[in-house]
This record gives sequence, structure tokens and C-alpha cells, in this order.
Amino acid sequence: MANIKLENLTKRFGENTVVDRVNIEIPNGTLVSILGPSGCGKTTLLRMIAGFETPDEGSIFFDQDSVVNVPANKRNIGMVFQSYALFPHMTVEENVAYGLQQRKLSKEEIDARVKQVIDTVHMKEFQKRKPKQLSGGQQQRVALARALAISPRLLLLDECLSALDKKLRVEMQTELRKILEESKVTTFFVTHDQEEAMTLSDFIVVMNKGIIEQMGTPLEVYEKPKNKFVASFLGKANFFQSEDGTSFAVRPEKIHLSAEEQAGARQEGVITFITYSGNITSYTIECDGEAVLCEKQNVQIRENLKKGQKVFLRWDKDSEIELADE
Amino acid sequence: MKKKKKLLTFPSIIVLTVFAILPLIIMLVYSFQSDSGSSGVTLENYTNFFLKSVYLKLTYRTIINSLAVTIISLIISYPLAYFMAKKFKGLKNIVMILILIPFFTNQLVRVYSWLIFLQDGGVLNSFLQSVGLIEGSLGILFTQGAVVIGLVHAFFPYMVITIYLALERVDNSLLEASSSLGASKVRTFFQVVLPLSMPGVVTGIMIVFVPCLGTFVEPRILGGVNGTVIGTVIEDQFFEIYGWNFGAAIAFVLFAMVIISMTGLSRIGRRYDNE
Amino acid sequence: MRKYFTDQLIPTVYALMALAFLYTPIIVLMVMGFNESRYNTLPFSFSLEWYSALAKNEVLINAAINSFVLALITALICVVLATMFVLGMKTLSRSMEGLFRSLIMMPMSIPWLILALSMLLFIRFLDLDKNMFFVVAGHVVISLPYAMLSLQARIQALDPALEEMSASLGASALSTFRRITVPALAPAIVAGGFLAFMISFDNFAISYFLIPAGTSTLPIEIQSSIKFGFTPEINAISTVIIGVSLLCLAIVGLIMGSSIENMIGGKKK
Repeated sequence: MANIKLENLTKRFGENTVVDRVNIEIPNGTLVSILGPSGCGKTTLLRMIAGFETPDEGSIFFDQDSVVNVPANKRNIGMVFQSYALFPHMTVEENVAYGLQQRKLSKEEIDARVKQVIDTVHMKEFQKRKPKQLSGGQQQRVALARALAISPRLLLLDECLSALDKKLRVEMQTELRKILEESKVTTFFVTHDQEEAMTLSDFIVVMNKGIIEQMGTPLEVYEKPKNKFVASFLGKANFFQSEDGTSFAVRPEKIHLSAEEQAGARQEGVITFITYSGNITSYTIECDGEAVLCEKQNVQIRENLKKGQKVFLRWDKDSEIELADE
Repeated sequence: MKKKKKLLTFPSIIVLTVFAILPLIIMLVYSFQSDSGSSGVTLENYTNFFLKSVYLKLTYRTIINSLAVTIISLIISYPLAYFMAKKFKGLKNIVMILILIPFFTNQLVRVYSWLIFLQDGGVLNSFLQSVGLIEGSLGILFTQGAVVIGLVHAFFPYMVITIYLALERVDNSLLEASSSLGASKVRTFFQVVLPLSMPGVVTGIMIVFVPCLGTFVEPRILGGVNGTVIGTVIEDQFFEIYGWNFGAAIAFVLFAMVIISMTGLSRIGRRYDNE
Repeated sequence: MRKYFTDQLIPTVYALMALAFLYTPIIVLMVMGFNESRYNTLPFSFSLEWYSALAKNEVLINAAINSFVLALITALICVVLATMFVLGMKTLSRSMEGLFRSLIMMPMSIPWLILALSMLLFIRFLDLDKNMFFVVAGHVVISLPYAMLSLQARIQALDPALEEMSASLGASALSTFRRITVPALAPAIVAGGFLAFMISFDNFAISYFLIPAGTSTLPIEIQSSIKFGFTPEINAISTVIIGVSLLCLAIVGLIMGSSIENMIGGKKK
């Protein structure tokens, strides 16, 4: 376990700067998500931390130690790959024991640790199986157990839930969070799924085109996104211009709709599209030629707003998110 | 419709049954008949073979030769396949094409090329003399060594391909996983790469060892009088000595060796199969 | 620096050495075909006499023509058989399919010497004289697996949805076959035919045991010249064979793109 500090970390592939002067400092035991669209450099960033790519510039510190020149196998980092990368010729036990065997521990120590970690991920009854005989979710647990077994200073998870189907993924998110909080290991979690980032982390780093757009707690980045990219990448947002020319965003759930004109209405428009999805109903409203999205929690039985109906939109002043100039 | 489509598979099956299976059965029948003209079923061809030390020696030599060819091929092929799969990038396809091209040149031509390359007074001889490595003649042609060289040349590219394909299937993320868990490159190789490439190695061994058992042209041309192996003995039975029934029996012994090594090797191969 | 050594230098040098082993004798053979020396020995002095001798050698030329015709007939039969087989294969039960396939692939794993002998004994059993029919049959038996490999790889890669799509768009079975299946298989048919041709053209063992007296093929002629005193005429004909093979390979390669590689590789992607 360690504080992690990245300083001016830069990686180029030919002409392309994939990671551009990234600075991050993470205190011990934090769960950090690196969130961004594909090709934003998040995986490259992770691979530099792991030691599979050499940065062109900058440094990586674990506590006070610079690790840029330390080979991957000496960094003591646990990694869970997108493909899980379980050794197909080894059983669950053997996979989990693999990292421990590289560390010259006694057989008893290894056995005890393997047993403990396999219990943590609830895979005890499958420990004699080969990876091919396990489901995706089970393979995921083994991959996690294998990475945790070595008591890593840092855990790296590369889109490791993306291969699971939606329901299982949501279950695994909660469980993963529990396991990680118990093990108190500093964790970097690469994902392109904003919901996953919010569920899993204490801290979110939003990346785009190799640079960090914003860092902060899930609450900060969702409620106070700095710019249009962050606002639209994390959740949905409507963008407006105020009279003085600055732009601001309003989250769809913060907009109130009413059929009658009322005080403080900011916009009026016509409902062009309604989708009902159980807990919420989404309305698309055309206001001055712009589509505005509005979501209502279905607390009561559905309101009687209809397609084609004229409605008035209202939101509180502090729901307006001021955006930096592009 | 479905029934009619099924009929499409029959011509191939009929051809194979009539021109491969049936002849093999007939050969088996012949192998139990005497060359001396007496009719009836006899074991004399087989007892002849197994009781005469000269044939046992030849069998032994054939197996040893084939093993030598297999091991040398493995030594050449594994590193080459490994480099192609894990180290080369753009170069990989060019090397692969260069390894495949000789498949499309006549096998006899390749044997002949070794004949003129290795012969006393030939190009290799002149070269080694001019750099002062040897004096006089090379004396390698018409030895078992020449036969082994020729067979390695003929068969090792197959092995490169089977091992290469197995190594290609070893996902690089497995190597990274191993490294992140603290394993050195050498340990990663022995604990992850090698076991996972074993199916390719076993197929490669099969694809080299088994055909080597049945060669007769290469030993004859490159080994001369020293090149006698089971294959050449069988050939002689048919073209020189006219002991066809005895020849059939030896051919069946060879056939049995082929079957035994194939089943043995595929057993071993299955142990490494993780798919 | 050390990384360059282990990742670049050693692998490259190793590959070059292996390729040198593969190509040196063949290159020496080709060069010696242009050397005056009758015994394939140095020193080298350029001469085309072996090529002009070859041009006058009717035995070799006739043998080459025989080999070509034989290989062509073999390839055609193999392609037709293999195409029929893979089209019908899908309707078989799994165990039947496995059995049939291993039967067809069997000649790949049995020494050809054994197959040739058994056919020779078969001819004797039928009390026939050696004849070209059996030579062709033998060539088909050993070449068919190679044609089959090519077609199987292709038909397995062929998305069954394509044929279903065509049917759902209203095409008749025949028209689906003609406009979807055949074009999809065409590269594999050409590649399989080429492979079968090469196997047959190169084959020595089967022809050697089965060919009737008075007829011969190129490999048989080469073998007998090697046995009974060879001259660099063999180098010349070898060079011609290699040249023509490479030319065919290049043409087929250009037409098929990567399908030969796919077939030999059978890559799962």
C-alpha cells in the first residue's frame, strides 16, 4: 500500500501523444477511477504505472520511490486484465498461488494465503477447477484473488467488468467495492462506464485525448463539471447560453416541468418524445429549435403530460453549472 | 434435400475406401502368405523379421534417425517460432513466407541439392578447405549424418509452423500478468509460455517423426550404402528381391510403428490441451 | 541496449541462420546449373550448356509433360471431390462427420511408401497390369487431404447466416448456391486445387511404385538420373521447376491474398 504520485507523465506513439503531462497524487488506500472514452489514453496510463510501457517523460512515485526504472515484475503491483489473463493450464488455486511462488515463501505460508484470498472472493468450492470451467463472473473473482494474493502496493483494474453482462456487472461492482474497502489497497480502476466509476471509486479522474479534464470526488465531478466534455461524459446534460454569453449546463433531473405557466419559468416548449423506463420518464422538449432533455422520477403515478403538449421548464439558479470556455 | 446433400460426401469416401482402405487390408492378407509359393496362412514373414538381428538393427536405426531429425528440428524450430511470434513485428510475415516457399519446390530437388552441396569436392568442401577448417575431402555424404541433415531440411519448416501457431495463441496479457505477479522473463517462459505451447510442440513432433519413419528416397540418395533403413529394405523387397509378401509384412511393421507413435503422441498432446 | 540485443539482434541473427540452412543448398544448386563443371564443383565459369542440353533432352521434357498432365487431372478430381464433400458435410451427424473426415485425412499421416505398396499389391490382387488409372487414383488419395484442408477452413469460416439471408431475400436454393456459396468458396477451391497440383506434381513414391513400364514422370526421371550418374542438366530442370513453382505460388498468392496463409495457419480470429 502506498501513496501514488504521477508527475508530468507523458507517452508518445510516433506522432501521437497518447498521455500528455499527467499529474496525479493519490493518498494511500484510495479507490480511483480513470474515466474516459476509448482512445483517451487511460489504458496507456495504467500500463505505464504497471511497468508494461516506458514513459517518454515524467516520473511515477510509490511513496518516495521512483519506479520508472523498476521492471514490471519488481513493482509489486496487482493487475486485473480486461481479458482476466488467467493461466489456462493452471487451476484456480495454482493461479492464485503463482505470484506467491515467485516470492520464495514457504509452502505453508502460500497455502494459507491462497486459502484466505480464495475465501475472500467466495471461490472456495471452485478452487480445483481450470479457468475454462468457470463463468465470466467467476473468472473475474479469480483474477482479482490472484492480484490481491501478493498483497500489492497498488491494484490496477483494466476495464475488468466490461466483459460481464449488465446484471452481473452491477452485482460485481458492489462486491468489488466491499472487497477493495476491506483490503484497503490503493486501486486504480480504468473504465469508460461512468456509472461504474461512480459506484466504485472515492475519486474520479476524467481523461480525454491524453489529458486530465477534471479530478475530484464523484459528487464533485457530477455536480460541478468544469467543462462541456465532463458534463456530457458523466451523465446527461442540457447546455444553455445565458444573456451575458457564458454557457451553462443543467442536468435533466433538475428541470421541473409543468403544463401551466408559473412564476420563474425559464423556457417553454413542446414535448416531442416520451420514453418511460420504470423508475423515470424522460421527456424531449423542443424549445426554440433546441432539444432539451428532462427526466422525472416516477414517484407518483404517471403525470398526464402528452406528446405534442406545450410545457414550461423551470430550474433553480444553483442547478446551473457554469462551464469554462472551450 | 438433406438426404441428397448427404450423397455429396460419398464419392470421396468411396475413393478412399477403394483405393486406400481396401489395399491396406489386402496388404495385410499378403503379409500372412509365404514368398516361397506354399499357400495358406503363415507367420513366417513376421518371425523372419523379428528373429533376424539385421532387421531389428535396421528398425532401431530408423527410430534413432527419426528421433535425431525430430530433436534437431525442435532445436532449430522452437526459438525461431518463438522469435517470430513474440519478437518480430513486420519481419514476421516475410520470415513466414520464406519458410513456406520451399514447401512448393520439389522434394527430390531439395534432396539432390544436398547431394551436390555435401559431396566430396563440392561447394561446402571447397569452402571449408579455403577457410582452412579441413584438409582433403569432407566425407560427409553417404553417411547417416547426411541423411539426418537432408531430413531436417525437409521437415523442420512444418514444425516451425505448428509451434508458431501455438505461440501466437498465447495471449500477451498472460505474459504481462505473469510479470505483474513478480515472475522474471525466464520463469514466465518456463511456467507459462512453454506449457501453453506444448500442443504445438507435440503436433510438430508428430509431423516430423512419423513421416521420417517411412522415408526411403532421402536415405538412399544421401546415405548411399550406409543409408539403409526400413523404407529402403521395403523398396528392395519390391524392386530387387521380389519378396513381396515379406515386403508387405515389413510395411505392416512400419505401419504399426506409425500408429503407435501417433497414438502415443496424441495422448501426450491431449494432456496439454486446455481448450 | 540489452533489450535491443535480446529483442532484435539475437532473433534476427537466428532467423537468418535458419533461412541460410534452408536456402544455401538450393541456391548452390541453381548457381551450379550455370557452371561449366560437369561435377557440380568449383571453380565457377558461366555456361548455358546444361540448359541447351536440357532443351534437347526429350526424355526429361516428356516426363515433365506427363507430370503436368497427371497433376492437372489429379487436382481437378480432388477439387470436385473436396467441394462436394464439404457441401454435404454439414448434413452428416457429428460422429459421421468426424469419421469421414479422419478417413479422408488419413493419407496425410501414413507414409506414402505404405500406401503405394498396398496399391501395388491391390493391382496384383486384381490380376491387372500396372496402369495410369491406378496412378491417378493413388495421386488423388494423397492429394485430396490438402484440397480438403483448404475448403474446410473456408466453409467453416463461411457464415451460415449468408445463405439464410439469401434465402430470406427470396433466392432459390440453386441461385443461393450459385451466387453466394460458390463465390465464397472460389478462393479456397483455387488454393486447394493448387495445393493438390503441387502434391501430385512433386510426388515420387506413388508414381514410382505404380507407373506402367515405359512411362515416367519428372520426379522419377530425376531420381533415376541421380541414381545412374547425374549431370547439371538436373540442376537446370530443378531451377526451371523452382522458378515455375514460385511463379505459380506468386500468382495464386496475388489472386487469393491471404487465404493460403489462413488455410495453412487456420488462425482463429
